[in-house]
Amino acid sequence: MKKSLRCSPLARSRSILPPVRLTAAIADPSRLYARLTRSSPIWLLLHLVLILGTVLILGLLLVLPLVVVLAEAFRQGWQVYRAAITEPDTIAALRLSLSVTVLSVAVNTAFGLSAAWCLSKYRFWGRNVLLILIDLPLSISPVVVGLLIILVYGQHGWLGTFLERWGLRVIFAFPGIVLATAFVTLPFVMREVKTLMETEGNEEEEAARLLGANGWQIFYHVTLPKIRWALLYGVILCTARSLGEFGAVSVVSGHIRGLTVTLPLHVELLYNEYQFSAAFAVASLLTGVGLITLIVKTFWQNRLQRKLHRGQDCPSEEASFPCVSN
Amino acid sequence: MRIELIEISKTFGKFRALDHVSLTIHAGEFVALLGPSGSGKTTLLRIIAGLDLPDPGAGRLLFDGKDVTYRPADQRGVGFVFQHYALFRHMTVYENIAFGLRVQRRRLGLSTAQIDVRVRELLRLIQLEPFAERYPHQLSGGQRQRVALARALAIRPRVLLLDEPFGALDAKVRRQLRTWLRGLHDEIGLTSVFVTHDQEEALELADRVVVLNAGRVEQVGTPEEVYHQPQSAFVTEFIGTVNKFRGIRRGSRVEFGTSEALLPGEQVAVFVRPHEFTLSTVPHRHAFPAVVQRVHTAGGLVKLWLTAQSGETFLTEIDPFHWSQLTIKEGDTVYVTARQLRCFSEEGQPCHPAERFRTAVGQ
Repeated sequence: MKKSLRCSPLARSRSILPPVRLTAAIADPSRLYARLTRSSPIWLLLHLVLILGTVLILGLLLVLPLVVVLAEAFRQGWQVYRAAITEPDTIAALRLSLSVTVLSVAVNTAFGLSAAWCLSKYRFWGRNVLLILIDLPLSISPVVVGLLIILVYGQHGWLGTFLERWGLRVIFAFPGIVLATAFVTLPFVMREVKTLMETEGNEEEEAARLLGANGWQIFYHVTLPKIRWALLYGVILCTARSLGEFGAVSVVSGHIRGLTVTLPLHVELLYNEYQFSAAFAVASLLTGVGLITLIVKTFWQNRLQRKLHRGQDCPSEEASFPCVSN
Repeated sequence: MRIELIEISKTFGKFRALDHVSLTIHAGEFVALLGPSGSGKTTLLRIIAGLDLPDPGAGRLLFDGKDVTYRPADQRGVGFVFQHYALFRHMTVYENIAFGLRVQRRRLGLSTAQIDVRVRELLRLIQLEPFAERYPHQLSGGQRQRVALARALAIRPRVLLLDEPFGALDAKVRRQLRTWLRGLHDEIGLTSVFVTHDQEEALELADRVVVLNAGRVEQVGTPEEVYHQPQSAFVTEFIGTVNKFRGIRRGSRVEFGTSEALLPGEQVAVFVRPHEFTLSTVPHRHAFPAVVQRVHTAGGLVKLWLTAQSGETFLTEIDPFHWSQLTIKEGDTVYVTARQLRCFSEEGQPCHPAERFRTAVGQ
């Protein structure tokens, strides 16, 4: 904070420059800024408008909905709330959501780590194509993802007929939901870890290798401690997204109550059945889980920052994400 | 351990980092790889370590006569010190040094107690015993460097490779560490190879110096040989301070100056070190006149920048006693002879035995 003040164009031009001519002011925006803040009330007004606008947008988009979710959930009292979240279907949905999340996060962590390793340490033919492919889930609409999965794994799909013969049902069943969720959350771990690996370089791993460590020892003793914060951050993002995934799962789930309905789908079902309080109660559950992940993330981040301030080389030596937000 | 490099080539894309490099490093030697950046010296070191492989089929690497070109880096038993140390930042000094022994515990048949003894011994060696529980970021540059060295030595390597070992340190620490490292090398009886772009460091520390340029070995020799008998224009220019004169050779005479003033002849470059000039206030047959531009007397030698009549400015160094007898000042004319000069053709090859040109610079 202190630093940014010292470096801001405002502070600089105030301390050094006498009142400026208009031509000079046009040539140098920071001078113009300094002049305007000192002389004109219009500028102050603009400041006010910008600040108010930000607060308003934040309030309307973020705070208000959060408040509404909680208010609606408890509108008919604690009893109704408890009934809604202890109802067997809700419990089943929660259980399904959690197991889907655990599975897809596990798959994506393993994939993300290996992909990040491969993409940051090696240059090979088709690397750019792979990069684009991995980012694809971020740019495709989840509904389309769901449809694609049905096309491939559905009863008459390319792989579906084959799998059906083995008695494995993917669509409208647990595997389909995991597939859809894992697809949508594919890039998260990879992106976080890759960025870090690229900035960190390879020397510590090389040093370990020359000291006689084998591949696993290098990964466990050197690479993993180096990337743990980025990995954790990626996993948290991935978890939050997996829990909340709606579009793709909605298409492949088949909405069989108690069986293939995840928490977000359950909220929709309840809402469509005009059980508003129950819907909001379940929604508050989801919101709660999301908030907890965020709090955990912030906690880790602060811990890391404290650790970094004891050391001195923030940007080069540690994870990039906590430093950027510093 | 004797290291032999035979006709090694390495390319990165279109860039030729090493071009048929052959070199033998004898057991117990302390060898410096010296060259400007991009000359391939670090690549050569990494190939010896096994961190890079030579181009397929292009060259072989022998340790004590045994072919190790494709032996994995973790089985070469090579100690390596990285330019930026590459210490494990989440481990303490103690854990850093112990790492190599711990990961190879089974293979070496070591007990925890034995490892502890070895690590303590190394901590004593690098004089960092009180710092065992510190983390790398809590150490100064020189201390980190010593930890990196101890970590490399822990596994009792037969070869120690150092990549710009003193590059990131300030001048005073660098000097101390240099002497210490040389002592250590002699004490342990290692074969050591270090990379540097600092010629002073190479000349002072190494038994032999390998001068590299653009992926080729320019010259291999003792510091004396490389300094006093450079075999190419590149080595002459790269090692030590040197004045370069472009000129024309005719018979045993070299004339320098602007080309219009010169008669046709073979284009050559003549190199004279600053301390190889003799200055006099009286003209004589082999001397050429020059005007004193600037005098710098702070230091062991007096430095004079002179300008010849043809416009070339060059540096001379004379001892203070000689200087006090000359009684000249800036703006005066002195008469200059070169006691020794080295002549190279346009292609950088030696163009004649140097003695033939003694005191022959003139106009």
